Amino acid sequence: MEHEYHHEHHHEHHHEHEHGHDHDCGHDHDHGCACGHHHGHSEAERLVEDTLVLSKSWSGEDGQPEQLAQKLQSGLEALGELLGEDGIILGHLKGLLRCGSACLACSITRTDHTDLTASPDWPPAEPCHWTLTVTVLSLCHQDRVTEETLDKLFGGI
Amino acid sequence: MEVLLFGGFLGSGKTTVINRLLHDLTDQGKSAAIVENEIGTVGIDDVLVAQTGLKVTPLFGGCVCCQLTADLLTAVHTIEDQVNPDVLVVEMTGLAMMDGIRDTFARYGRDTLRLHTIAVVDMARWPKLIRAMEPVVRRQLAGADLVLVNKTDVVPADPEALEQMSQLAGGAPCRTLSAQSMEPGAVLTLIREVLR
Repeated sequence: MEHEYHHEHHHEHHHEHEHGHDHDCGHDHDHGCACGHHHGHSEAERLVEDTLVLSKSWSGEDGQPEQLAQKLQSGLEALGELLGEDGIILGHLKGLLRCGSACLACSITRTDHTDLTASPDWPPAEPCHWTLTVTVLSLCHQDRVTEETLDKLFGGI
Repeated sequence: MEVLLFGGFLGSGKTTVINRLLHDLTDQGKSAAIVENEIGTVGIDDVLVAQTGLKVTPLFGGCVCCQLTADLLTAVHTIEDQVNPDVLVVEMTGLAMMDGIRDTFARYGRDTLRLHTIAVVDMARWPKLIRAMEPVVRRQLAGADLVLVNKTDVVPADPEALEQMSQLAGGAPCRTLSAQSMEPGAVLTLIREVLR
């Protein structure tokens, strides 16, 4: 199986690059940052600034839809165990599996429940060109998941 | 052009509510367009919404409450000029602050826009979210014209929680729903009843 490894992710503070030289974000604060402005952030903004944001895709040919779906679900559930706080995800774990024209979405906000939403034509009958996309958003336990974690859970498909 | 701006914490069910709403609108012969703002460089929500058959304008690379404010307004004005749908739905990211966006529209939006702000709240996680993320939740509810309390099939909404949400939303009405299992037409009816 030949893998087309498409790697795109945004893993940094949510607030990075948020302010340019000329902007009006609607917040009432002073500005201060590398761009020459001085920032005074609200408590809400400080909480949001440390959001873990990871987004990555993998793709390949001749994928088996049901196996890929299982990989997606089990991987997200493993992430849920790492990031959950008393069973609650203070964020959102989501994944999308596309096989040909069909797609399956997986969403986790609580460790005791996984939401699966399938397109009407899921599952496709034949092996297919597939793309798996995972997005991890968490305001808690941010140090427990890295890009390497995603590679271990979803790589090698 | 009517603009329905959806906000609410990550995973609250905004996309699910919007998908139901879009189905309801098209079933009633209304034209609709949607702008999707999503955190992360690879889209998932826009794909899910595109399953409805509608054209989706995605906004990546930041949050419209701050980094992409100008992009959002440009997109809204462009859609009004080029498409002029009956309803434009804007889905904000789960970290966006409703109050900032509302101020931006008031300051820079055209007079031809009729803006309504809707905050979606996840009842199943509410106790934990309000304890751990109160400043964020507060900013997300402030400026909402309507609060949709979602996932009440998982955890029923208690009067105390509803009162708390309404207070944080400046007295906005709160309506409960379970977006995943709503009957056709129900979401649109619920929103219309409140936002006349």
